[in-house]
Amino acid sequence: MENNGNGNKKKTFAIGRAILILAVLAVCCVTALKAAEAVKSTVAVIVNKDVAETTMAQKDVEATFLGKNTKWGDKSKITVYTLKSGDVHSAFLSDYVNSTPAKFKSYWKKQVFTGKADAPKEFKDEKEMIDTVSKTKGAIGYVSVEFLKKNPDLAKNVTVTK
Amino acid sequence: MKSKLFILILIFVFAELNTAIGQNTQKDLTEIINKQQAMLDEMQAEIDDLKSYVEEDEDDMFGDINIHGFISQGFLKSENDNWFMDNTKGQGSFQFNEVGINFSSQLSDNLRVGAQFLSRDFGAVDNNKVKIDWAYFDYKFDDWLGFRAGKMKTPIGLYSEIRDVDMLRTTIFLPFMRMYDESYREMMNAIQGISLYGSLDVGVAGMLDYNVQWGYNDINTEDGGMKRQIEGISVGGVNPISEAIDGESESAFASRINWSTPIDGLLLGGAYGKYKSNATVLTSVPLSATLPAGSEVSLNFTDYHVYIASAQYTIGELVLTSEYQRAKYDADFAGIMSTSEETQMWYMMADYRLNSLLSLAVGYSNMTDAGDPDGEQAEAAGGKDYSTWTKDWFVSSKFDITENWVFKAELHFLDGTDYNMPNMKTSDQERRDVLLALKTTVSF
Repeated sequence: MENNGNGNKKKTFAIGRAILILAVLAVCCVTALKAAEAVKSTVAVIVNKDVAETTMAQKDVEATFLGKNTKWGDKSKITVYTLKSGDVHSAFLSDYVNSTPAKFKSYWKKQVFTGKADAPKEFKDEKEMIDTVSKTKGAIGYVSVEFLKKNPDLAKNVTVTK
Repeated sequence: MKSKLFILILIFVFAELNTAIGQNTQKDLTEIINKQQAMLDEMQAEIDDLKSYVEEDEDDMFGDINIHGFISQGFLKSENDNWFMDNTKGQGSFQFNEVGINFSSQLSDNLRVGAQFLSRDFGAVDNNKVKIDWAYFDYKFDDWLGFRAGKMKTPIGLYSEIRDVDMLRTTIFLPFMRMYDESYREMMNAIQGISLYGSLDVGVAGMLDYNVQWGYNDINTEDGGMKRQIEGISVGGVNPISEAIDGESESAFASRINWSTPIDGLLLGGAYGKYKSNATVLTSVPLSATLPAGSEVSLNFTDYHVYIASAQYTIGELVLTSEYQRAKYDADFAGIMSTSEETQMWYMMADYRLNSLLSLAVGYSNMTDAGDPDGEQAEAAGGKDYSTWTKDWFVSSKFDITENWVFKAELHFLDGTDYNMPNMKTSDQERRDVLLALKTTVSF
């Protein structure tokens, strides 16, 4: 009886382990499949032309705008710029940062009121944003795809993958 | 002024160039011009850097120092006065406020320094004395490794670091029993010492944020909640302490790891804290033949362990949060008596932002004395069974009147009185109570 009980426990444990391994594999496969896709958005992520990166993973964009990634691949400083409000700001946060304007503001207030970091500089419009990104070494920001088409020479568009 | 500086530099460069031409042959001319051109380019680059630095400063009225602050004023009223605001007698109390101001500066790309001063009143606790809330310097070697030294907010649970900053959450009180206890914030809220922290990119598995702190913490035996906690300790149903006259932290350790999983919006976390402290107290009963009532003896909290598991899922404007905590302490009383207590609590909360004006939160928290969850021992000792648990349904609303001004209203429906500090649990406390909390905050 005791042996049967132990046997059942082992069987249950083995099934549980198999389910866990399958679940981890499923998450990895889904993530790997997602990695090849570019993020579809009406907003383009832009960087200063001196920045070497031409592509970024979405989670790196998210980490950068949350102040967790502060350096480019060559270890130079990342300077983050954001818009103050508006549809482009909302769409950017939704598509690239998994956030909303209220949550994003709250997150940065948390950083400020615990002394961890200063909030990124905000701009009222896309013109100010792209002008500043074009003049600032290591800068990253965003504008609408339409706006970037009209001002293609000011900053470099980075392809963001899922 | 900048243009004058530029012209002066140009004059100097051209004067140098002319002198050089006069003193050298035509053969060396190209080499000299190239050399001077390189110097000119270098100076121009320096001037550009200076110009951008000055332009950045013009946007900040305080130069390199950032200043932020907040002022909160609240009102509390409970139906049966179970709440630990002293002597409110059904009238409610305005003794519920927070004022904070902080200064910070990014000294270089990697080095940062800052401090926040906080004044707080919570009924009989803290009484608006100005204290250093946090003050530390922070050196970031890389995104995966940073070092802090000074007084830092303790990273225990998802909300511990922001509990002083009212406008950052929808609720007035965090699930407010032992996990985010309002009564001895001074002890549990910050550690003075050193810290290592960072964010680790773990590829397809997401991102890990860690924070580990070592040091000690404050014990306020003047008007802090810890004084009341110590004075209310019960050993075998008897309270042997009449007054806590001094307290000292021996060591404090806090750690937290948060995992941003590959599933969008899902955050999982774990935290562990360990604290050792001692207090000098006056006894209210004779402990031995040589220690009559009124003796000054030491009380050692040999180990206080806290474990927390956290989960948070964000879908658009909806945030679902749940945390579980288990805490245990052992106390040695003058080497003669000892006591211990183990509590467990959990809560779940849904927080939804309806629009730019209104956010709503609803939740339930449950706390029990792990050694006497049904209150049988408490009842056998002549107390109330419901003094060993608290179950709380709460509903909160936050109005963002402007970007810098919020107003909140909150109701708690309480069952059991374990949320009170030991010496506030009186035999005439009702099992159930309703608490109304109002609070308004301005921040900048």
